[in-house]
Amino acid sequence: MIDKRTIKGSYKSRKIYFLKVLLIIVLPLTVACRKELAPEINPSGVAGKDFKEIFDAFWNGMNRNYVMWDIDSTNWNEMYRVFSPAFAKLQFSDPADRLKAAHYLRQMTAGLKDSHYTLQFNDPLLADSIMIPADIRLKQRPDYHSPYPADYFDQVAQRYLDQPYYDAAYNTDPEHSLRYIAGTIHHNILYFRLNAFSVYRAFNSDNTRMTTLLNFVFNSIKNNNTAGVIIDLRDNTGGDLQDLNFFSGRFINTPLQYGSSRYKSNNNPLDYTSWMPALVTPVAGSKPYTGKIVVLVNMYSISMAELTTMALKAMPNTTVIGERTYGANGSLTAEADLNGGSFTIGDFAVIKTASAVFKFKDNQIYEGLGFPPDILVPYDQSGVAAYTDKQLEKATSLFTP
Amino acid sequence: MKKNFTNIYRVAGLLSVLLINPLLMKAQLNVGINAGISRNSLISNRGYRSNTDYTKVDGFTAGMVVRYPVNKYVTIGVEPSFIGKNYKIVRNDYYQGVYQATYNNYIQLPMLATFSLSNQRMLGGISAGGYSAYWAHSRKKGVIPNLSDLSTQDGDYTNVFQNIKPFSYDETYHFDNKLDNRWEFGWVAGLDFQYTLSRQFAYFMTARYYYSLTDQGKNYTINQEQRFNQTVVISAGLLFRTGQHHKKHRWQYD
Repeated sequence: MIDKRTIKGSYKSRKIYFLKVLLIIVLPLTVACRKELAPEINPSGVAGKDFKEIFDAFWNGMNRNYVMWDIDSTNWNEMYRVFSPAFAKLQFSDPADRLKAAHYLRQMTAGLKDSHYTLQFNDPLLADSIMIPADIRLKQRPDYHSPYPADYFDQVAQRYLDQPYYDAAYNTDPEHSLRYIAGTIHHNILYFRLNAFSVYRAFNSDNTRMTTLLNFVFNSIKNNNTAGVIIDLRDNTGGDLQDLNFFSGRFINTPLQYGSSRYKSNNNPLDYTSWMPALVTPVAGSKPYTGKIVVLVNMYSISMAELTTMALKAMPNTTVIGERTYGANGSLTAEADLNGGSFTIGDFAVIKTASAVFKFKDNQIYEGLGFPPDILVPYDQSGVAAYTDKQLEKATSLFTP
Repeated sequence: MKKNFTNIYRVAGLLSVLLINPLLMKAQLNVGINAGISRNSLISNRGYRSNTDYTKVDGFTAGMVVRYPVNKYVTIGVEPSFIGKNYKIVRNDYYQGVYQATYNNYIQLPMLATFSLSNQRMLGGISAGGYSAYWAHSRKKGVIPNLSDLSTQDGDYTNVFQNIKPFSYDETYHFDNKLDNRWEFGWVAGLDFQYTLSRQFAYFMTARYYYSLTDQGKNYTINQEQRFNQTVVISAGLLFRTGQHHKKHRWQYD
């Protein structure tokens, strides 16, 4: 016979056992959760009236948007450790502190490799504090010199080009006041001089002087009726990326890979996409250009001027003459396009930075270094003063049998 | 913090081996195989990426289960498996068509305690425990704009690919020791259902929820975006009772 007390005791111990089991299962789940993830702040959304907030927005924005952390020597984490406490001490209402903040930001960014990088302040007090690390780097080059005088290329055209030749000016936008020159040298070498790239827009404008000039250039390339072409990209400040296809695409009839590029795939500093082929697509109806192509460059050949040089250099019949270029090979686009690149810190500052890194077909990244010429012909101050163009003369000599 | 977790799981792993070994020797085990589908979410503080969403992507899982009935109500066990923890980043509006799907394969070892109630044929239970997983392989597939391959199309663009040509890829991701944390640890909870077919065999279905406590990335920068897997798995399989066949044996709920 079963004792009722034994049954009662058994139920009791079973209940306690169930509770223990439940406790073992449930308790760990309640105590071990992840730390709550702090939301990222959009730098453009900050009020920009507090230096701790400004510093955090700037540092985080750079950490997230800057596309060259893998090739940059700046230790951005160290910048945080050094400058975060310094910014916390600054008062936005104090003009001296605002100047100090701009000085700190300049120090933080002085070594950045991206040659498109520009830090600009909206505060009128800080208007002169603009920071362009590449310009500092340029001035440290042993071969540093000023750009050519404003009338230099017109004078050179007068002296070296067959008469008559074409010239045209057109302002597509305030940054790119176009001044193009085209003609022949020795009646069999096409010469085309561009101070900036906005060829597509200029060609589609109602500026007949410009379209006549460009038609002459395009027809000469298409008809292969000259011994070669000299494309003068010295002091060319860059411009529209679409000109790669629209202009360089006239020398080929099949797509040309001249390098590759990549950009940010996600928010951490070293989140990158795969390398994608950088291509020039031929213009409809174009033929392979069989003549000699010579590209003139100097240390003021910037961005699109460098990409065009590299695209043409990817063709077997191209020689680059002059100096090492500026070294701004990344591409700029809206932040939303590639989730990286340029951004703002509220109303306080504007940061312009590349959205993509480019490497040439030789697998070298020339960002911050500049693309080297095949034939180095240095800037000649005395020659420039007399409008004697040693670089153009060298280019012309390549066509002499 | 992360180091503490790693240490805890190292100790837990060692204890498990020490505890399970004698059970294996005793061989009063239910052993089975199972397969199913996984659905993973990547949890991160991704902040302000415009026109961008993370979406869940289904995957597959297959593995085995080893369960030891401690008593009438409680079973402990391990469920080594191969599991897909996938996710997708998609962009919308003007960027419609841009996406990157990441297919991650993990080798996973959950250790669970199951509390169950049963009748003659069926068993229902709840399970909880911890798991460790090794990120064995990763593949990325997507379509993104190639800024170095511009379209020659004119006009007002309504989609990014009218302006910039698409770049498609499908490639194995090569792990980077500096960036990728290939060990994952976390909690697992779930539901169990079992239907007895015979003395030796039973069908079973499980639902599991895996909650990772470890970031997929190594901590290499200040304010790093953290990424955690959260995975729901539904699987079904066949359970086989091993050992002591000469005796009248009982499933754990008998």
